[in-house]
Amino acid sequence: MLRSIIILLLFFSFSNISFGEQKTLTSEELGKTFEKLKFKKALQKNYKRTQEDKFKDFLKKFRPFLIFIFIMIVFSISRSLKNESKKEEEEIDDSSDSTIQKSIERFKKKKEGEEILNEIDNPKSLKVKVEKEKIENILSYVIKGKGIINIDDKLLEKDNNLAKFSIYVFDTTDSKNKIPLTSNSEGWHDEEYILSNSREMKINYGEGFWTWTPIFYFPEFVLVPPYKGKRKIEFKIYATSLNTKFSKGAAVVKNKKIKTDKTYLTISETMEIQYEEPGYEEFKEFADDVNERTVQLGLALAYSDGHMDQREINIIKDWVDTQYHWSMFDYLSDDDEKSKDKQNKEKIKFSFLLKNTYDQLRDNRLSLSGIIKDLNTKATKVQKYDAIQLLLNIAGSDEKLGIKEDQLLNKTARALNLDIEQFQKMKNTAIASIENIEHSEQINESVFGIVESMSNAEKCKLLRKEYTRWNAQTNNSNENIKIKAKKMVELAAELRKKYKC
Amino acid sequence: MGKVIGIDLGTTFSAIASLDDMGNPEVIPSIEDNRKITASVIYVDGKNAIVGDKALDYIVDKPKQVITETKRQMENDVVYSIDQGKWTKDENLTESFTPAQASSLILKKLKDYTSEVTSAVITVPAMFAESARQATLEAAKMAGIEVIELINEPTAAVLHYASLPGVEVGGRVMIYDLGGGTFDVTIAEVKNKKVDVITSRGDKYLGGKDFDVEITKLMNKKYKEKHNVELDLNNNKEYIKKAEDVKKNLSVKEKTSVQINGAKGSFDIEITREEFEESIQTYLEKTKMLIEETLESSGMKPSRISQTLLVGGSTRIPAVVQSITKLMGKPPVKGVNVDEAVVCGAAVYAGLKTEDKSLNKKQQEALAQVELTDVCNFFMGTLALVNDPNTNRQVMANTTIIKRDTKLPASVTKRYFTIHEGQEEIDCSVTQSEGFEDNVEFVNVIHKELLKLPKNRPAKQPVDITYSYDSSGKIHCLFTDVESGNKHEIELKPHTTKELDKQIKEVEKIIVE
Repeated sequence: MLRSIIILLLFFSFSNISFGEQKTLTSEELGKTFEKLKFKKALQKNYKRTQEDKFKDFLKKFRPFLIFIFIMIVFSISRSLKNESKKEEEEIDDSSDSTIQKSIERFKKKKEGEEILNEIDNPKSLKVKVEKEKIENILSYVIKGKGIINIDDKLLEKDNNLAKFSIYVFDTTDSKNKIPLTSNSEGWHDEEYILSNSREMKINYGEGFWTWTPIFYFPEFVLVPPYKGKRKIEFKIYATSLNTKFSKGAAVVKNKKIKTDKTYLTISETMEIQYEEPGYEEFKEFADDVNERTVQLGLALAYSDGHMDQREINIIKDWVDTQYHWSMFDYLSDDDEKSKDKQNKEKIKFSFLLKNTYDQLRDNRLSLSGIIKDLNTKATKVQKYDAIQLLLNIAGSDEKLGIKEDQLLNKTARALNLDIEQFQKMKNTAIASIENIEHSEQINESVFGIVESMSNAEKCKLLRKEYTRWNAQTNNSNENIKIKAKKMVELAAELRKKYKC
Repeated sequence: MGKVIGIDLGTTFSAIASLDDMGNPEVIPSIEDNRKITASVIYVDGKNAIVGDKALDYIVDKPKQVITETKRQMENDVVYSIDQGKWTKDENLTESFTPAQASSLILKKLKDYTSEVTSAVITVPAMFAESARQATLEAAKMAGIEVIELINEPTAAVLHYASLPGVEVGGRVMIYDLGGGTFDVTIAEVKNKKVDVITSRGDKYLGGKDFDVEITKLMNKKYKEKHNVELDLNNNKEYIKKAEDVKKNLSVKEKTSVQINGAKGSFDIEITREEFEESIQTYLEKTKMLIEETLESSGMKPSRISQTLLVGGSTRIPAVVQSITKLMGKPPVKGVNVDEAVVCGAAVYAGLKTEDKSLNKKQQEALAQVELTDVCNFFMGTLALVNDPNTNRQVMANTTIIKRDTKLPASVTKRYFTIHEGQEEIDCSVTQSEGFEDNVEFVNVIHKELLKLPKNRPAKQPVDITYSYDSSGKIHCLFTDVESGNKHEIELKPHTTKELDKQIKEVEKIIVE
């Protein structure tokens, strides 16, 4: 069977048709697939893939032998599959203790082989499916295609056999209101900030995907439906002429007579997802609440040592300013004048919030658990990390890290259900630029994220990881980081000694 | 025809070895005192320099003129100031030495132990950063030695163990290399005389010198208890020298005494092995953490390691052996002279890298079965804009091209894309990090230049980046704009800059004894 697969792989490579289902994909692997399909445009500007140019040159040289090789391969596949099925049948007959399950498996294998051969003889039109897989370690929606891309050659002639493939994503939970999803992530939207991706592709006669092959993908974090909960998401692929424009996720064909813009085919797949975070409509609805809670959290951290430093307040003020410039859905906002008005109102509101929260902190009336609860309900993961980054910036703004500040940071990260390792990485970046860390046994533990509930083994392992992380920084070219790293390495070793690891 | 030479340029001791006529490594002793290891200490007096144990004689009377621990400064942009008697970042000093210049004096001394030294393999700690490797190459150049290759110290040591007749080394082995200034732990697969390095970890600030400092603290504590006055530990290299003697004594005795001079006169101080071992516990904890990390990263448990091989003088300390025995479940192998394993391995490697015609038949036979495969000890990458899934923003991040522990030689090509329409240049940064890092702050940019691109092009133009890493750890980087073919090629090697030429001329004037 292995021989057959190798021969099949060779065959598909020679005939410029992709083959090989991948369970865990990298953008590199995706790139390879597109390369085989002669995609002209790059996958995504910041992702990487390897070249196959040398292999292609080799293929070009051997093109004249293709027909002969093709005949030989098909002959070999048929013989190989027949031999194997015969052998397997014999094995089933001979084996008295073979289980029903084994027989089913063998039947399936045989069936798969037949299906592949059948598909070579009777290729079907393109169909798509969507699966969740990791690409470059980022969980993504991968849109895979299988079958022949049926586009009339004559239509493609004017674009030198090129077609533009585009994908848009819609929330179709309400069947009467199909909503195109939006995005402001660089590289994942069109001119109207509608979530999309597109590329040009040369189509030759009979080209297609012989097995489920990745065509597009979207990192999970760019796909934000309007609301939390169970949502129906439609992934729609268009093959169009090169100059076809899109509006709100639909191809706009302006001149049907001369056919310079034309949709050649559309194909879509719907999947149901459970979206656990606030959707973008909820994001807009809760944005002010989340910002206010984040500011309050920041003030609580700044006040954790009993007084508030002006540098800490400045960090919070800057953050508020940034929020209203960086708003995720800014492009949907009103015109400039109205924006200015809104900003002024926001400034007044936040001035009041700062004063009011300070009073609450001074009188010990501020409920941190209430703030966390609110953030857990209304904030997205991105907003929570943003809040933690703000806290880290505040903690480092006065160039010293106190035990109370550090403990509040650790508690907040855990209460917001953030990835603790990611949080620790963020914290280490902040620590690297903080000049003084309070001297006490308590902070030594806290600074590494050690909590009482951890077992001794967990503490030892965590300290080892932190030692490794900081030890790697002892040759950092930045002298401050190097000095800090040496201190952290010592702290980790001392704590390991304390815990008798 | 030059000799086949290996050099161990250590923090506290250095050594030179060659292959004898039978193909066995042989440490070449000093002509003056017939000692096989030479203290990496330099006494400078104008245009004269004394290197080795004799330089230690000046440590009491003229401590500022005595340069020590040069190796620990190799990665730093510092100089040793004779006036200040310390390593400093101060510029425009009248009498000063860069780490490469100081190391070159040690190399010159070693070179004089024998004739016909034109080229050599020089050892470096596994985790020596690129800047430190470059400084080592510069030091060799200043000493008039052509470097065949740099080899990692634990790799050299395991090569020696593997090629040694009579010592049975095989399977998955761990090399525990605790020297004067650095600690390396390496796991390798050894089959007959074939060595495949799997992974290495290290701490550049952990070695016998740190133990000496702990002993001086014990001395200070006891002196203070007696006289209620502290010793001036910052400015007295004499205490360090005495501490070293105490450490050596405590490796064979339960207690030892030493006479200490302080502000209130001299005082005999007794130090026990127990006190010493307690004082170095945090350092031993670091070695344990590195071993655990090395085992975990290679997916191994201590039981899968067939032997632990000791390298470096500090492995003579009983507490070190006990710590290894406890962690690994069996005692380490004591098969060779731990001070000579690295330099002997370097000589063997020099033999491997020497053309057959330059070796005699016996040497060829001895080396015929010896093979070595090393790994890349760092993540090599470049800076690029990426989407941060946590903040959903585009951030400048470090992206990996060659992963750590990749077998050498290795060559990896990755494709990147331009960001803007009309982008006219891209940043060709080469980054190096010990751990996997995306944070730009936490990687060292070892090279940075711009590649010019053609004008008026749309965004997303492909740029191929190829990193090639040869078996000696030399890096070659190629940034290619695919469409135009514009290239930027980087070969990381010592530059023949005017500054280096000036340094060479300065060193040439110094007579080394």
